[in-house]
Amino acid sequence: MKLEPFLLDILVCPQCRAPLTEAEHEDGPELVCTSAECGLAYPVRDGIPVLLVDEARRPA
Amino acid sequence: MPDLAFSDPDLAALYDVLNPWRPCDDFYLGLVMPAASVLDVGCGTGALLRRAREEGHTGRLCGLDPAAAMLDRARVRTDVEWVLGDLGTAGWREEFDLAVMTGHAFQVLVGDDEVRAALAAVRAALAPGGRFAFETRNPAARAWERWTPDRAVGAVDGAGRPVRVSHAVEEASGGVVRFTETYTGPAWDRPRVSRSTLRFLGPEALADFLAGAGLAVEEQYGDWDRSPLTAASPEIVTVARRP
Repeated sequence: MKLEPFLLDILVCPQCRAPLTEAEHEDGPELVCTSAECGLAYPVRDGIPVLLVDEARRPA
Repeated sequence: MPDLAFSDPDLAALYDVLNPWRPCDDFYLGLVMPAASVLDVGCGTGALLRRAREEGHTGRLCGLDPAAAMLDRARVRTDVEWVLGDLGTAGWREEFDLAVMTGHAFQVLVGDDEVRAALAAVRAALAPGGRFAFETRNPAARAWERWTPDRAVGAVDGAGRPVRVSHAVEEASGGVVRFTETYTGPAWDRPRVSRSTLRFLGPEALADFLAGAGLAVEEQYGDWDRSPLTAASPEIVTVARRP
């Protein structure tokens, strides 16, 4: 399930406020922070972006 | 972290039972239907935007809430954009003609900085001429003095089990009220207690915050029948505009 483009345009990383980009992870779709220093990955569960730092996956 | 009443799936499932469609929802729906794009901040179970879609709204509807259990109720409609987060999770760029904060959600903003940050984000999310509608309980009506255990209400949950919900104020000072909401019933082996803190801003303080954020008060009412705001009014219902 794709996010509405307008949403992807405005959503930012709640940790560092960098833009997010869509990606696929083994656990499902994610929105990944584009900042190299941050890089947190936020799950998209049933089409709903979960923009909580506590729920984010740290980059490997 | 959202209060337990919103983060616990059983309690979130009770929200719409305890808060059925009310005159406040009709007030907001009347603003939502003619607006081409709507942001619902603290949308909870999404009842307002779901209803708007059911009634034929064809524009952009976006609901934002930090409580997963509440959005789990909202997601039955997939033609609304739901986002689990808060106003800090977007770089707002004048996307919306209308932003709303219903269900006294505005009162969870307790600190001055929280109020200022939220209003700045709302302003950034509004297109020029866009409107922000919200309500906050009128502190002069002192609603919290009636949040007492003897006024518990009963309800029946989705599984047909009785539930009692009671409130008790722990502290009320300086316009900030801390209280508990206690759920009891056969669904739980012991009472579930949700703790909340709400701020009660008076009309003058509210006007200062709105002006500081660059929002102009366009309409203000004391209740959902659009009666004028007086000292005895239960609510301060505000529609502000981004110039």
